[in-house]
Amino acid sequence: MKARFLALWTVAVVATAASLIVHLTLRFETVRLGYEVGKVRKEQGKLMESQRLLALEAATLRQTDRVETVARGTLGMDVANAPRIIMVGRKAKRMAGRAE
Amino acid sequence: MNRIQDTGRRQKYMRVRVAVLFSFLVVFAALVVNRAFYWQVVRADELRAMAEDQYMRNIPLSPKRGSILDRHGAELAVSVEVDSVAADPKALVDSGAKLENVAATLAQLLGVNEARLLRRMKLPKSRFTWIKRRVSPAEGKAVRNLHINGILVTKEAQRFYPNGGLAAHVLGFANIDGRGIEGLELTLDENLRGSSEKVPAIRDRRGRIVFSKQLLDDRAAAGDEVTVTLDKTIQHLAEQELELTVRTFEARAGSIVVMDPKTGEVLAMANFPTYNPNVPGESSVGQRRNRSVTDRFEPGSTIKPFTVAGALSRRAVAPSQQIDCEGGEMQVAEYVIHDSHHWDSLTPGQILAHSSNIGTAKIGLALGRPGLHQALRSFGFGEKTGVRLPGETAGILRHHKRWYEMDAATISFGQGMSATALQITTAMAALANGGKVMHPVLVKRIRDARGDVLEDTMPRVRRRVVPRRTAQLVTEMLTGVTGKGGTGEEASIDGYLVAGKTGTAQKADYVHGGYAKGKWSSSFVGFAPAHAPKLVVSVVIDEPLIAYYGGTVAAPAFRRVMEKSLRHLGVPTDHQGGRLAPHLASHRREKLKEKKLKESLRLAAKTVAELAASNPENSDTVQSQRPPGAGDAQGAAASAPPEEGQVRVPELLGLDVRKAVIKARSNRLSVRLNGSGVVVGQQPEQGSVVAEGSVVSIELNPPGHALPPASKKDEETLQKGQSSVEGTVHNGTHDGLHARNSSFPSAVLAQAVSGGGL
Repeated sequence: MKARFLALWTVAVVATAASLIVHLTLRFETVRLGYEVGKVRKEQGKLMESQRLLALEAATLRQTDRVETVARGTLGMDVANAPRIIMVGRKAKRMAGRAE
Repeated sequence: MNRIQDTGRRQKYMRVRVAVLFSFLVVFAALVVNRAFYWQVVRADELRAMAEDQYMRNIPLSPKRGSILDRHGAELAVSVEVDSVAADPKALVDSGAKLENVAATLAQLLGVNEARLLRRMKLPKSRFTWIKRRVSPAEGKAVRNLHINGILVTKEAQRFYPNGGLAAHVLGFANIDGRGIEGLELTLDENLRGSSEKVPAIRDRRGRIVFSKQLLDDRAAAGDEVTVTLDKTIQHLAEQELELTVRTFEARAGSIVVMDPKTGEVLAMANFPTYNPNVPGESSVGQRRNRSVTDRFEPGSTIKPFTVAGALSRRAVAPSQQIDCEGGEMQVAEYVIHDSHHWDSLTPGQILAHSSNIGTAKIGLALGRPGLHQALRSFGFGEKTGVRLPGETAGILRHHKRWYEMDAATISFGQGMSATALQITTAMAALANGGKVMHPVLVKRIRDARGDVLEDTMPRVRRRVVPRRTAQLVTEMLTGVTGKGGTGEEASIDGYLVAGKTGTAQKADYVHGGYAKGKWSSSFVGFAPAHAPKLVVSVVIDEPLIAYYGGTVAAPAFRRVMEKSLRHLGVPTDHQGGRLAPHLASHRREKLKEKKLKESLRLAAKTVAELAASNPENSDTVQSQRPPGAGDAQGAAASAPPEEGQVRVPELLGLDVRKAVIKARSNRLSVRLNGSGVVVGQQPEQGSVVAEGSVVSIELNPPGHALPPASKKDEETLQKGQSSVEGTVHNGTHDGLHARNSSFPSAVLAQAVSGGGL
């Protein structure tokens, strides 16, 4: 009777201690992961902002005025007039067919 | 005995003790359970709230304003985070910092007024005040490095327009607080701004966010991304040409609208004067006005096609009907209508080509007041187009019951009414697409930050206004405007057939009544290629000083915008073009010559056969005049003109790609290119007769490379082919010479040989 009581008592104490440990571990892990997520999120935000800045820079470099200036000035390019443009390939054939 | 009694007493006492202890424990346990129930169940909600209040914080989400992209995804407006400097005056005072020193340091660093800054810092009980917003990254870093308690560097979103003034009037701009003020930024503000909300997050005692479910995906609150129908390149072209025109003719202002007639999508909407939305404060209200939709003008002659279309569709006039133009002057009520040239009678097509006011007035009068009003109204005049831009005006088209006696005549040629550039463009698009008035579209798509499509605009037909046949008929008539002698000759484009109409209208004087002297609005609206329209372009120039005719002022701008835009879109040149590209023109001439030559030879051969049948002697003489080789079957086949639907493969060897392709195409053949450089081989061989549209496979090698063995064979074939081609001409020539000798209808053959036609 006494031994059984002791056994049950021990089981109860161990179970309580174990659940406490599990709870604390989970709590600790949640907090740790929370910090981790916060850190990663901050990093993600920074990267997204950098990406946005780079996109803005690219868009600025692609300004039509600038492209035209570079093409005409630096590269010496000029607009091809209509007779110099020859459409080849399927699209041209299709469009020519439609034109007629 | 006593010992037994003692043991019994002790046992009894023990039981009592155990019982007391048990009772005590039970009571204690009951108390614990009771309290636990009280705290955990009865006051659970209240306590949970208290606990959350201690460790949870509501984090304000500051969503980024959504981007605006053009139809190809190029950024037109984007938001990025920048630093802003603020102060917490109470924290500054509490930190014991000397405010004068702080103000002096910050004023020097950020270039702000020191006294004003100090005044702000000394605001009693204030916990927040801006010092400078949107500072440069270097300034933000410098302020951070000062480590002053109470001086904060926060992040704020700033709107950037990377293309500067491009499409400024359509995009509009947002203010410093990220609220749309003009243009699409205003009308789509709700979508672009996103939702400012606060989400709960666990924070530790240092204020760091430990965890928040909602913060994991803050895209839900972010602003939507808007894709507009504008094409950045066409918009640039339109703005460039508009500025050039306004400056050249010293005009007050101008607008250009480019539209896809099939879908109603606005590809460009340019206005001048313009402004830079990155610094809207540096511009006046007049510069920021989107004149294409807010300014109405008397359209003048550009309205005539719609009057004619209305009259044709209602059978008020016939396409070939001669309309008496009264020699250039017509009396209506107490007024006299004039034409710039004096015409006796014109057809509706000629009326449009020469822009006769009297002719159009007569068509308008034939249509009748209700008919004319209904016709113009159905084209969209007098009502808003519904484009998603602020401040759109409907223009003025009074109800026919309120018209004066003169109005039916004057409104038919665009006076006594007003319209916007967008309305004129939409109406012309209806003629271009076969008679359907489309809803003008400016916003193509709206996506949320997760990429889900919230709105996708499909082309919508507002109404069918004229039958397809009528639209085609008016299109044919409008091609005459840009043809030789038409008022819009300046709008014709090499290689494309252009349909359009010029407009020159005196501006109304709203102060003194009547029309303002010397103030004109010049316009041109048209589309190309006329038979398969890709674009409608309208140009409106307000108060040009140097010249004022629409054909002189607006038509050249139309031509340049249209030509460059068609090239940008890769629209092939039009073989029916009024003014064709040189190679196409020569191709057309060659085709015509060839056709006439064939026809003449066919007639000649028929005549020969007939003569031969009637006079065998002559027949013998003719046969003896054939060129060498023409007697055998192969030679006859090679030298005989190809039948209908067939063509002879030309010589392409030795030509560069360009010339080879031009030559093949001018012979109604397609090409397949292999390699690069000059032509070293072709299949089928030159001289072969093939069906029209057949593919000629061309082998190319860089110049200077030795010809492959196969090409030598081809070269021989080429020579052979050349002789056979020459033979064809000689054949005709010989026949011709012989014909003269043998009393042939010489005029017929001479024409045939020279290509003059019959």
